[in-house]
Amino acid sequence: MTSRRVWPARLGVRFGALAMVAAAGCATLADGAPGLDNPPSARAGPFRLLGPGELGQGRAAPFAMDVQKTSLRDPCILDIDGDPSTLEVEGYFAASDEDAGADANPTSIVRVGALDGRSFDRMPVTMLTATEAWEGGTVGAPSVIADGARRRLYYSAAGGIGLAESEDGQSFTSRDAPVIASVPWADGPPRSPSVVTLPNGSYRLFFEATQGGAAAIGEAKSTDGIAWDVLEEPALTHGPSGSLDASGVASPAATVATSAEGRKILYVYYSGKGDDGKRSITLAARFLAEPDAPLEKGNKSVYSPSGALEPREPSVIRFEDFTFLFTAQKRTKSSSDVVVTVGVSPGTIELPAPDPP
Amino acid sequence: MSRRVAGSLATAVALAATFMSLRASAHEPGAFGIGSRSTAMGGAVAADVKDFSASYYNPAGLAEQEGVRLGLGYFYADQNFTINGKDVGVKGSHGIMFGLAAGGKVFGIPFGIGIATHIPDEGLSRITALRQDVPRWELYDSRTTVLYLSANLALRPFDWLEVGGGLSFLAATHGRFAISGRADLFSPYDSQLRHEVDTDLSSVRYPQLGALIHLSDTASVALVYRGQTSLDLALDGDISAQAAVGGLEVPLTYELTARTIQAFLPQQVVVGASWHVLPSLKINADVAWVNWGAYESPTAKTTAILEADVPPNFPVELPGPLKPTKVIPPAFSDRIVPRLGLEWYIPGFTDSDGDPVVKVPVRVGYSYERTPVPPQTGETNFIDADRHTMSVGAGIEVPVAHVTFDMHAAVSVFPERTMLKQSAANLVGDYHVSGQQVNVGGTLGGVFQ
Repeated sequence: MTSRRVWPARLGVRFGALAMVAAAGCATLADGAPGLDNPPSARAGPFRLLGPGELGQGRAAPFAMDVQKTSLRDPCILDIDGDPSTLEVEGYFAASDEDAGADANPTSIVRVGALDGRSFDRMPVTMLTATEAWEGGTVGAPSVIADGARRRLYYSAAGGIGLAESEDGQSFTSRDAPVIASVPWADGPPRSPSVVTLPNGSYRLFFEATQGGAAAIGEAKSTDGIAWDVLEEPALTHGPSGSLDASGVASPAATVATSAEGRKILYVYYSGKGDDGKRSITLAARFLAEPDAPLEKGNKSVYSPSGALEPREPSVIRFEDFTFLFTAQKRTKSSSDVVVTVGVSPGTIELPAPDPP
Repeated sequence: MSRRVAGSLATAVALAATFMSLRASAHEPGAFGIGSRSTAMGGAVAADVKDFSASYYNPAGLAEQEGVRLGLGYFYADQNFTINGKDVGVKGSHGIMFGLAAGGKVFGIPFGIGIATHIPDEGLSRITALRQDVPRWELYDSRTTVLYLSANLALRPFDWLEVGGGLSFLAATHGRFAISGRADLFSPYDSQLRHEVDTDLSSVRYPQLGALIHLSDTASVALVYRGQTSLDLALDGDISAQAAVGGLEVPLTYELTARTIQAFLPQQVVVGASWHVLPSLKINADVAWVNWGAYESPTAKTTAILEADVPPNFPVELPGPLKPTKVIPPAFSDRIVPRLGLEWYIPGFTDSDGDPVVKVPVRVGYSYERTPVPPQTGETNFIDADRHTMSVGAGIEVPVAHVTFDMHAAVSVFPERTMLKQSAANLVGDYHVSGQQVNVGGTLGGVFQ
């Protein structure tokens, strides 16, 4: 049976334009992906950018942070109580001097709070400023771990990776020397730290450093979070030609998760740069049954905005039913503004209402 | 023909999505049985079937039919499949079963003809073309609705031998769409687009053959072969248009081709036996070899090319050509399916002469289908688990009126199965699955001498 018809369409062209743009540009998970209801998901990606109505505090989704005066960036989102069933978080961001612009080095680290895990208040509190000589006037890329009220804030500075500590979570004191100043395999000091506590109580620190002109990701181990044993070789290097990270891997963000069958997994998200210079957020991982096994790359982007928006410095926080990915990136291809976007995985999740709206 | 239309370039995308989300698959007789008597006996009827369901189970049985036997039935199968303990919304299956078996003699040789069909309630076919990493209950989600028709012929050249064969039919779709014209992105009603849709609904056929050997008055054995088939589906799309954006005219072309193989049915060989242990008690047993190892991935192979002459500084970034899909072999394995059925006629229900007023058979059955799907440790997520099916049924036969009515109920249980991923970076991650199916139905039959 063959039918052949020619007829005028009556579908809206605006839908058409949107659909074409969607088909052409957005590489993040599409809404309403076909398949089963309640499909299994490691909640590790891909991430759907939050849309209208999913962010509170008067913020315009997907921009969880959009403060151009101090160019807040480099998010680190901390689950205050470590309980994935509660959503309250602290957000730590790097800040530049007022009106210095996004290209200026950050000079302080500020903190804001969010009751719903993503809608940050508009009252940033400065936690740390560049005061130590070895910091070279810059502090940024915060990574914070908590133990009750106590906080440990690792950060990037000119002389390496620093550590500031706070007993009450309010006032931080920097150490007078970096905890990691050099890396055996790198051409310069490490930067962009991400620290995670393993189930056995030990610590892992992932960082970015340059090797042979390309960014690579290193790993260090510690039992006390202060003295670090840096591995002799990078944990991740650029991939083969044509891969998502063929030109380099940068700004790691580590987190520990438990699979649906109870296996502990260490995820390391990072910003990969392809042959064409396009950046996307991807991940590597290992099962913690073998904590020293090599990281295995996923070879799929979990967040890949269209255009040259250069997503960097991811931060991932896992809740009971979903995971948020915060990423610093350009607002637009031609903009110098830096914003922090937030995406969620699984993309089909219906988030609880923003708090406050 | 060109008219003022409110069309869109994405109509093509929508059409593509429509075609690719039409859900079709095969087939109910394989998954839920056909005919209440046969279903109640666990499908173990290869050596003991002569009603319309013989067209599926063993066409040789049609040669035993005398007169014309009509059958009309309905079944409803509810499915409850879970992943990580959550219902995943796999649709049930239900529809009308209909058929006839007619027998006679040609040149003194008994012969029979038969037709069996299943007509789903919700459309004649449905198809889902998913990425291979998208989790799906592979054997019961997308293959449970398709129009099925089988036509067969049987002969009894010797008293002890019956042979039969025929063809079964499934529906297939091939489609093409094309759009051309001018689309105004900001003034939809100023757009002028022509849409063409060209679809073919054709059929695929596969053979079945059967032989039935009567070893004695109380024992028979059977051999059945069912062929392999699948639906080869195609979609081609072509857009050639001028996109008007403000004052700019952007010529663009978009070509889409998609191919997918759906509703795969493996070839099968069935060996069956039937034994009248007592005049009122019959035991049937079948063993089937099912060639799932030949399963072809249903993953759509898609190519798409978008070309547009976008002006410099225009805030749209065109994607590169779609990377060809690298289909991962599903690596299913063959399986051996044992089936067991019992039928017992309750004594009594006779008149004063001892002749039966009615006959009341009760039936039970069991089958075990080991999953052919290997552990899904990699990128694919073809979900399945072992299947245990327990069935019961009863009937009533009125010899005087030559009328029968049979009912069946079957419960299939899929024990929990755990999938552990080899790669910690797998975005689907570990999961466990389980499921149940409940299948009930009834069949009314009548014989016309």
